[in-house]
Amino acid sequence: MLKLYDYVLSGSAYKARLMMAILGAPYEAVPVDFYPGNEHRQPDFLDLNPAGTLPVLVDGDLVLTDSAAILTYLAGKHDPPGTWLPAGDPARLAQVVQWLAFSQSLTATAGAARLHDMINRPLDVEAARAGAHRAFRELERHLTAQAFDGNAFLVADQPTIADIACFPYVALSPDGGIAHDDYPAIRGWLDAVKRLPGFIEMPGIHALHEVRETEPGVVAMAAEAG
Amino acid sequence: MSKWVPVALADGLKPGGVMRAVVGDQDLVVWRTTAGAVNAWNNRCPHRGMRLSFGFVRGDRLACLYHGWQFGADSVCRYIPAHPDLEPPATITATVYGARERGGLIWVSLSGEGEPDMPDIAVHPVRSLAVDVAPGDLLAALRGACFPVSETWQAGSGTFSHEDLGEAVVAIDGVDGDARCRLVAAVQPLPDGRAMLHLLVDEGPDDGPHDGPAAALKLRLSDWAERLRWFLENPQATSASWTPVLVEERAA
Ligand SMILES: N[C@@H](CCC(=O)N[C@@H](CS)C(=O)NCC(=O)O)C(=O)O
Ligand code: FES
Repeated sequence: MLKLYDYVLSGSAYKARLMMAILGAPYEAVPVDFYPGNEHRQPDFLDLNPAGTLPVLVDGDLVLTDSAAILTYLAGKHDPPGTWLPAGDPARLAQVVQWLAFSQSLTATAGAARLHDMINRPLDVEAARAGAHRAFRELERHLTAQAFDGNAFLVADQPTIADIACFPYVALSPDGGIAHDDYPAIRGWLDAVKRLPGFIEMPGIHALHEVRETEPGVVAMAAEAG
Repeated sequence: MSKWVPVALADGLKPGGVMRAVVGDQDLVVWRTTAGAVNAWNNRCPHRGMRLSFGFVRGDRLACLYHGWQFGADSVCRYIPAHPDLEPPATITATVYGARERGGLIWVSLSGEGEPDMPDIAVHPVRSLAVDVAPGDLLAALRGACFPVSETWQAGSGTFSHEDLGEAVVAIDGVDGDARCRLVAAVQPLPDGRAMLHLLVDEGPDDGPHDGPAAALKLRLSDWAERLRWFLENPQATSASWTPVLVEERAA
């Protein structure tokens, strides 16, 4: 059984939860008291992940401590058609890896601004926001070109782990003072991800109402979240 | 503020779509009924002030995300989920502003008086992008802009003429050999002193019904808009194979 060291407000841990929900992979969640407990920086957790970050996925002897690695593993193992991680197509695979790398710049900018605003993490929030807007412009330009070709997602004509990796910190950015108003193509892409079968919510990321009404699972999640 | 302001490409707000816009210092929800009619209201729910732009459309009603109050296109509250049998008092209304669709754009006016300052021409949407310069500077650049008229266009070739279609709308006609292309650019002032460029294209003389411009044309114009933004935001910059603004105009 997959085991996910998880924190409900973590956008990075949500990447793993969202991917497992979409792929229908069962897992056991181990909640980590990130805030205010700082449990991820205590010795017991550091034995598991010396980097002191969430999420961590454990499958038997395998321990993965990076969300991009976790998505790669989940898609490789739980998506028999292989569309979420197009391993057989070098060009597509390379583009997926490129956007996985880009997702780290979202964590470092939009994600950091959110930590600042939500838990007073000391950092230069103006620099983080400026960096997020630079990254959003890059994403907006790419998604605009994709839309001209009739494509709703980041790579070619299908959703991939790249979309899952980039989605959370873009969707959550208003919590860090970064509005989506300037970015119409990004808004369309966020909605496209929310329409994926199996999509789940997290605090700060809401399902589309049209989806809520047709997917009983999402309604249940929303009810639990209160 | 009696003026009509372009806030989006008409194509960018689908039937049943909801978006936020700010005009002057007024926060607005702009939404389309599933039948296609456009509305612009104060972005505050009359119940507890939730932003209505987080809401969702049901037919010809906008529902607030918070407690689900539903408002008809006439802005009157029609349904309160907590009291399903109650007919809500007609005094519960959202605040309505002027909204129109014209020339491929959605226009909003706080006074609702008059009509948008643009002819209702048929054009195709390209994209909208925010530019970190004042609206007047963006308009001035558009009035002297050149762009790749065709796939084979070379910097410095072709002739360009510029026409104001309205106070905030510039048409740029480019002719290069047999190729011709008409860009239509509308400028929206953003609340923080910046500007939004809404870009549309008319492919030239009407050659009968078609599906709109090819992806390659849209991409070329989108890249042009990125380049124009770069030049406006980096006025000292020197190194580029071509500039999207005619040199004479730039010097003048
Ligand atoms: N490389 C990691 C980084 C994820 C990350 O930054 N996670 C945050 C939580 S959302 C974290 O654990 N930060 C440690 C801290 O801020 O103390 C990944 O993407 O998996
Ligand atoms: S705040 Fe809108 S329904 Fe309550």
